[in-house]
Amino acid sequence: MPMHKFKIIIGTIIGVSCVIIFQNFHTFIDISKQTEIKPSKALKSRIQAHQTPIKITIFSSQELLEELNVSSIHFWLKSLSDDVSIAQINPLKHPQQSDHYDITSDGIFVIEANSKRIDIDLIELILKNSDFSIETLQNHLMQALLNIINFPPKSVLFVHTSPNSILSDDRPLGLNSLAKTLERNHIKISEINVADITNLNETFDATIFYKIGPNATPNIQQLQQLYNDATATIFFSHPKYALIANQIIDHVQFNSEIIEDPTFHLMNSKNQLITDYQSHFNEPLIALLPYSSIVSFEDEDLIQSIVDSSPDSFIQFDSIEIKGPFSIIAHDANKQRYFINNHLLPTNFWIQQANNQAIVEDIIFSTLSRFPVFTSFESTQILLTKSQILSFVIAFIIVPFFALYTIYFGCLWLGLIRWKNPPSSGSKS
Amino acid sequence: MLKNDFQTIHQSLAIYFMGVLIFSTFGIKLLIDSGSYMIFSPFIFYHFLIGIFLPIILYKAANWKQSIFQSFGVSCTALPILIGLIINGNILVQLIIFYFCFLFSIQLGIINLIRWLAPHQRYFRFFVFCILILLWGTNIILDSIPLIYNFIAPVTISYHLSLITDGILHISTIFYLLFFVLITYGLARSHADA
Repeated sequence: MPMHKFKIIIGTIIGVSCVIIFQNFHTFIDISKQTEIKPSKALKSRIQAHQTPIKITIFSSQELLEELNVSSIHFWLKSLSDDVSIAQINPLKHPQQSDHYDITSDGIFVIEANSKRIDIDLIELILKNSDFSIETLQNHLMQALLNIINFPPKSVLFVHTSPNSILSDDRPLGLNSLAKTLERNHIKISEINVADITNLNETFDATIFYKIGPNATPNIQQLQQLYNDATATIFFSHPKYALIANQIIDHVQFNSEIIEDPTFHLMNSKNQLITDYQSHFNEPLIALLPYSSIVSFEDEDLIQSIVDSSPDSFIQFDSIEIKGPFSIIAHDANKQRYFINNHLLPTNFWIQQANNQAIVEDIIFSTLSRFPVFTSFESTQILLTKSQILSFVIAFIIVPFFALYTIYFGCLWLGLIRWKNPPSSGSKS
Repeated sequence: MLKNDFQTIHQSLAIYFMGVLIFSTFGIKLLIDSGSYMIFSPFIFYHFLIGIFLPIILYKAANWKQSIFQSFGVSCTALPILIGLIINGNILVQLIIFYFCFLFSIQLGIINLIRWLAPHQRYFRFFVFCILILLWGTNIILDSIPLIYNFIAPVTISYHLSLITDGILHISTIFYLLFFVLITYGLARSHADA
């Protein structure tokens, strides 16, 4: 074999091997406008500190990922940590592997670590979020990863005044679905009656006060203490028991008057309000809030409203009609204290309505982990007017033509090209 | 006299005028269709496809260096649209610079492949076209076998193009370009030495 051919063959083998081997390294520069693919240092250090293998299996066809513009998610996931391993399986072409994971549809991300598992359904995210983008997926993956790697798991205390367990109650007004949601996300929840809070000797990452009623009156001081000591709180107040709740909280007042809305309501009930909710991932969600009342506050720097009724809404106060909009859900500036003047939102029946499930999850997760959020890139929209199209033609066709002439004459002037003699007519020979 | 001068200029610039017309018209169509400036990926896909066939079309055995220059030059006629996208804040200048480095390297490699095949093969353009199709790669077949896909995909052009359109400058893409140009140059030189 000639030496030259030998060199080329060896060079080709080395070249192809290098490309394949270097493909496994996660070294890359993010040159996109949004710098969306580069993981945040905080998230990387949290995952690297975990030091346990994290397995991510993407049950999706490549076509679906490309169609949704999320195919580059591999690179973001791989660069999080060396402990993250990724596999992609097309569920339609490999039904046996899909059955093993109990996957029946295209577009499911399965995250496993420490014998825990969390699934993220791409199609569900798209249905929930009309502005779906790669950032939406990144935020949900980040939340799932944080939930799965938390060791010990995040803990939530659930305080109520009911004599029986509410979290195990699977009736329409029970909170069994909420308990299952937290369990699914590997968050530990402990239920306690107000009468037993004196025996409490554990610390929790967040405390949920649910429908604190008249039974709590003898324990108001302990509840105040618990509220003040808690790092994060979520208060679901029953409008009827607003006076009791107001003794526990500060800076905010719960009211008792039920809000009615003649425009944005469900079916024939003006009390079942339909409102907008912006998640802490900036996703627009729809909340369905029945029998809600007002959360009032004075200092807008300290407390911010996140769910408001429409301007058409009103309340009846001493036979006087007061027009909205009214705040129904508010939080403090650090998003660590949530005030919700509606106790039906997390119940088994109402949590299934509209995006209530996602809203409850969003409120609980935002109190448990504060993390940099990916914001989606907003593109400039084009107004298709005649003058706009004309400006496109001028900018992209006519100006480049003149630019070409200018470059040509410039090159002639500089002597970079020589003037060609024009072809004389009839000189075919 | 003046008429003849302009005729000469037009003849010299005709191919670039055509390039501007094709790319700008397609770009304007995409802008109107999408109603936003988010047209980078489809535009680049179209531009790249045309860009890699330019060296095959424009190759002249007598003056292959001019073929390289012309291929580069015609590819650059897409710049008005790309500058428009940069001004409207959808892409970074770095991305455009790297994309053109990628395209020029592939074009250079194709010219080298032609120089290697042209003296031996009568239908060298067809052979180069076949090599390009093989190098382009396809996910439809390989996707079904993940293990093979993991090995084959990084050596395909489409894989690296998809990385670039996603704004990822991966180390393997740099190696891919480097080795692609060097190996094809070696092949072209093997003919010259012979």
